[in-house]
Order: sequence, then structure tokens, then C-alpha cells
Amino acid sequence: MKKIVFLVLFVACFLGSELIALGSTNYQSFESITLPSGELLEDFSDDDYKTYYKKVDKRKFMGWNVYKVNSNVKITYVSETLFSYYNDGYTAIDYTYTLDRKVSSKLGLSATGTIGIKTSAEKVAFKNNLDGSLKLSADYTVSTEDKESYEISLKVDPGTQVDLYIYGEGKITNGVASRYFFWIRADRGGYEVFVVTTEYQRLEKKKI
Amino acid sequence: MKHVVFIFSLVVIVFMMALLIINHQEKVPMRLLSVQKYYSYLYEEGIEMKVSLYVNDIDHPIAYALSYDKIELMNADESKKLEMSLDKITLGYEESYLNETYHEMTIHMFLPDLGENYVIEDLFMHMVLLDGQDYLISLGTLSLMSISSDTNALDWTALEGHKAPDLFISRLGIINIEYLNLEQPIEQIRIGIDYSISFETQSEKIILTIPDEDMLLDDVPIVIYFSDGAIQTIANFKYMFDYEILKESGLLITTYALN
Repeated sequence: MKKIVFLVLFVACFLGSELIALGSTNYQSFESITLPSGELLEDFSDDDYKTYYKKVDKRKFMGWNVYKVNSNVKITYVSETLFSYYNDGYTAIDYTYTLDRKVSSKLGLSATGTIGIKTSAEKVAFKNNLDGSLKLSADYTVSTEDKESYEISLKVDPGTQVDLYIYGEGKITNGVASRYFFWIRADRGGYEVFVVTTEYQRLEKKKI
Repeated sequence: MKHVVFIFSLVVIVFMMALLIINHQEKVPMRLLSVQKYYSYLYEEGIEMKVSLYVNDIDHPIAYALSYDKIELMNADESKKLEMSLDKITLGYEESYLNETYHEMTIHMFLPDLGENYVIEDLFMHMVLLDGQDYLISLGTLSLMSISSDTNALDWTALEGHKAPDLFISRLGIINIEYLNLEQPIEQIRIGIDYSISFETQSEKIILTIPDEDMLLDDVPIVIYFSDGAIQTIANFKYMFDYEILKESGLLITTYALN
């Protein structure tokens, strides 16, 4: 009997936990994301979830119930340092930085609860076709096969360090969803889609 | 036996009908889009001009450097012409535009050392492929400056730029130059030949304001003219990358049919 109670509690804890799954751009590790209004999925409180889940708890035969909390909210962000290079020699150095990256990095997904994200070499998407039910605009669609490549050429003076930072603008859509299978709830949780619209570069140089 | 013949006939008919439907499906015409842009470069050895075009079919030979026979930059009446050396073509992001998916393809070409300032105001790119196809694509304006820096009067520490407020096209509106020391008063700042822009100096920061114009602008050099006649240059720097260029560019887009 104890074993059954333990098992039930364990499963309940597992299902109840709001683990955040991330896909593609790990935008949650950005230095900062600023929303003029609304909030990020990671900031949803238990009370928020309780309120929002009421919107998706109506049972259905098959498929997803979706509730959008924030739709296409324009955001600004400060990302990571793209590169840092220093010249501790005695003459100036011509430095060329080549960045190769997958274009998919402009799209980021995250999910909580039992909503999952599948990441393959070619595509990142929510599990069980939640993407289709969200009816996101074409702006949120990217090919993940292509690679983007660009070069930055700099003359770095002796005793100088150069750093390149990325910041920019994007859009976020988030909310909660639940999936039903023969009127039985199979998945429920929060989802968030982030897409970069413009990236800005800031170049800094300082004496070392 | 009759049943076998009937089933076989049915399968053949269904197969033939499927084949007919597939063959009669309307094929999406292959298209290439260009967007009017101000291309400004300060010549330095090995510098490349990068032209982004958008194709709805990346299998077309135009997207592959090996398919090219010749590539030239010219003006409308061909009184100005530059034969370019193609380095490579890279594929970039995808964007949905008018219910089609377009891939950005960037053509990297080495700029020649002309030893003088050179401008093509009505810039076209003539691309000749090995299979005989040729395309004349309108690009915008080219400014190629050949200026040497002869001072370091401005000890700059940071460089960044962004769009003007409420402007959505991929065009720089502001460039900020942060600095430690400014030894001479600045008389003029240019980001292209005859492209003088207004600026103001505020607590160790020079703010350059670029007037609005119907051309994209994201990668420019900066040439600073000081009151003592000295010149300082800051090399080309790509200040921004946009992922909604087609969506926001509207009338700046020209559409070409690909053979």
C-alpha cells in the first residue's frame, strides 16, 4: 500500500512540476529581455497558471485547447558577447571574425508542464503539433537547414581589447495549452515562442 | 479472373488520374527579388561588397557561385561599369512574402582598388550565367570611397547604430560613437561620397543622425573631417541584421522572373 501511495505521489509531483524545456535559441539566458507589457512564461506565477488553465480545461474529443496570454508582443533584448579579442603585441593586427550559425537561432521555444519540444537536426517544434494549433504568423517560421555566415574585419591596435555585443528586437507569443485524447487530458502546460526581428551589433574597444 | 482484371483496371485508372493531377498542378514561377539599398564602402584591401537578393527556389543556378560566368556593376546607360570578382554566394534566412517563402542569398564580390572616390547612383548588377542566362538587377546606389586616415584625433571606444524611432525598414537612423578623447573640433562627418550627415556631441558621445530616404542602409564606413583639415576614418561596420526585410520594404522591392 505504501508503495502505491509513494508511486502516486511521485507521479503527481512529476506531472505537477513546471519544468521549462527550451528549444533552439536559448533566449532565456539572454542578459535581459524587456517587454513593454505582459510577462514572460518564466514569470507566470502559480496563480497565473490557475487562472489561465481555466481557459483550456474544457474537455474535447481530440486535439489542443489554446489560450494566448501575450500575442506578438514586441520586446527588446540584450544577448551575449559575440566575441572578445585582444592584442597584447606591439603592432596593430588585422582581425577577421567569421560567424557561422544556423538560421534557426532566430527562433526560440520554451514550454512548461507536460508540453514538450522536439529538436532534430532539421527542425525545432513543439511536440504533438501544438505549433499548428497556435496558428502563428509566417514570421515565426524559419528553415533550420540554412547556415548564415558573416565576417567582421577589424584593425586591433596594440594593447587593445575589442568586444562585440548583440542586442535587438523581437516578438513573443506565449500562453497555456492542453491536449485531449478521447476527452482525457494528455498534456497541459505553458508555451512560449520567441523570434528575433532585428539584431544590432555594438563594438567596444578598450585599452588593456 | 474478371475480378482481377477489374481491380487491375481500377488501380491503373487511379494511378493515371493521380499522374494527370500532378502534371497539371500549377508550378510556382521562380522569382528573384531585389531591394533598393545604399551600398557604401571605404576601400581597404580584400574588402567585399555584399549584395542580398531573395529567391523562392534555391535550386536555381543563380544561387550557386559556380554557375556564374561574369558579374558586373553598372549604371543604366552603362557609362559606368565595374567588372567584379565573385568570391562566394551564401544562403541566409528565410522570409515569407506574399504567400511565398523566399531565401536570402548574399553575393560576395571583391571591390576593386580604384584609387579614387567612385559613385554609381543608379546601380544595376549584370549577372551572366554559364548557361547563357543573364539578368540585370536594380540595386540602388554604390559609393566606394578611397580615403586615407591621417589622424587619430578621435579616440573612440564604442560604436553602435539603430533604426530611427517608428521606422520599420532596414535603415540606420542613428549611429552613436562613444569616445575617450576628442582632440580637434569636427567639421563634417560622411558615411558615403557626398553623403554628409548631421551630428551632435553629448558627454563623450557623438550622435550621427541619418536622414530618412527610400533605401536600405545597414553597413557604412564613417569619415570624420576635423577643423585642422585632418581626416579620420572608421572602417565599414554592419550595424544591424534584419529578418523582416521583405515584409517592411514594400515599394523598394523589384521582382524578376527567373528562367
